[in-house]
Amino acid sequence: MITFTRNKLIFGFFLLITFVFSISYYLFMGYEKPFVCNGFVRYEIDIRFKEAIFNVSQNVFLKGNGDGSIIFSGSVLYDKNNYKVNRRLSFSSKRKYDESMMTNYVSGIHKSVSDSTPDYIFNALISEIIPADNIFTLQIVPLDNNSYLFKGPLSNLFVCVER
Amino acid sequence: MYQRITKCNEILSVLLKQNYAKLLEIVTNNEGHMIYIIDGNISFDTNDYTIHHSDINEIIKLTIPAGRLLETLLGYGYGVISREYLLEFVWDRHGLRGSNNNLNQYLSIIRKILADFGCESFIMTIPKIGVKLNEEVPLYIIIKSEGNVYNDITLGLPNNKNESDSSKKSIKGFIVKLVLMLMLISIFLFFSFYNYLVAIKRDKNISFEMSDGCNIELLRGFSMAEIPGIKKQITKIIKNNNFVCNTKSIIYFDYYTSSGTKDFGRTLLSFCSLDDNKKATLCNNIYYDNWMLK
Repeated sequence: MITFTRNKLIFGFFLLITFVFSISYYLFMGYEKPFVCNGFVRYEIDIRFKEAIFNVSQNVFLKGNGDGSIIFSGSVLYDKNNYKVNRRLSFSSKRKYDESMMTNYVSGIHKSVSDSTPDYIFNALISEIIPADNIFTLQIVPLDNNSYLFKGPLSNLFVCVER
Repeated sequence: MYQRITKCNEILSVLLKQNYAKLLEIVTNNEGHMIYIIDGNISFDTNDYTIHHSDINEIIKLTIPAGRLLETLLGYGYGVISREYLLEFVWDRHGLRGSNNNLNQYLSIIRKILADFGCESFIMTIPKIGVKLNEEVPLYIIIKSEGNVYNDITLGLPNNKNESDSSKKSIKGFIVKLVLMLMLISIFLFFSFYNYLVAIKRDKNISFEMSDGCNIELLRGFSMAEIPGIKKQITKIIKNNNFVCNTKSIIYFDYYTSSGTKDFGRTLLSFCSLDDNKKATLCNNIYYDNWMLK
């Protein structure tokens, strides 16, 4: 017959706790893996009473702690001129309310050498996401298994598909 | 009755718990006596202060002070017993005058007898405090009564039932504590990760189907009176952007403006292609900072 001493039981208990925590970590900390999604967006925005049409691909990269970036890649047509857009908006998490809502501050906008868009045109696009103060709140709402709606401070911004 | 001793109090509690208080009373009233089993094969009878080795069948009778000293030591169990206590219980209470030398002498005698019987290091000296029995040496007690009423329980063979019952109870208690602790941990984990669990839920919004089978889902609530106007605008945006909407696609739509104005304000239409499993594969978004009603 197997006999259990108190020490064996205590050892078994701690082994069980370790197992439970390991499983929990494995199951739940999976959310810590970066969230990557992609969507095409056509922005039609008025700048100085003229229409700017952005056709950009937006790649969102989001880490579990709320830090991340959005890469804008495409072109913009403004005042009969066509410009290349290739910029990365980096942001850091200021506060994370839950998995879907976070307040971030802009840590930088990096312009690629191939980007030919004047800043005042690109800023019109950025101002839809970040109205002021370099601080903005993003809310990510799942629509189905792999598509997500990004809600900005002013309105719904775009839907992207998780990669 | 056969019972492993750990502490003197434990003997009492075990006896009391098992309704053997009466038996203890018998011992106290000299109607019965105790036999201690040391290291399995040495027995010490408190009735005549004899030590018996069962294997070699040799009996040694102790002097009264030595017998009383061993009885006091065994009765105390495995706890540390002070020299003062021993002097009082072995000598003073019996009208005798004991000294440390006497105590050392009788301890030495008892140790020698036990060592001759193969039980060494049973009585250990705790410097400047007293003595204690070695816990590694098993010690059992048999309470013996001459009365017929108690014969069946007093002269029994070794019976570990009580010990195993107590052990079972201890394990059961530990398992109950373990389960409670696991429940607490589960509750803690559930609330810790609650946000992760609820984050994937969302309210179901208004959705409808256009004539060509195209699915439309509105991203917030609207009154039914607004729906025809919304359908009209969606059709216009689809046409403007050359989207082919059918059963293999879904459109998400929202606009944001005051109801008093004549335009839709910030408007988003997202056209997503679906695979056979109705999962979105690609989304094209049209965003107007001010969609004008035409």
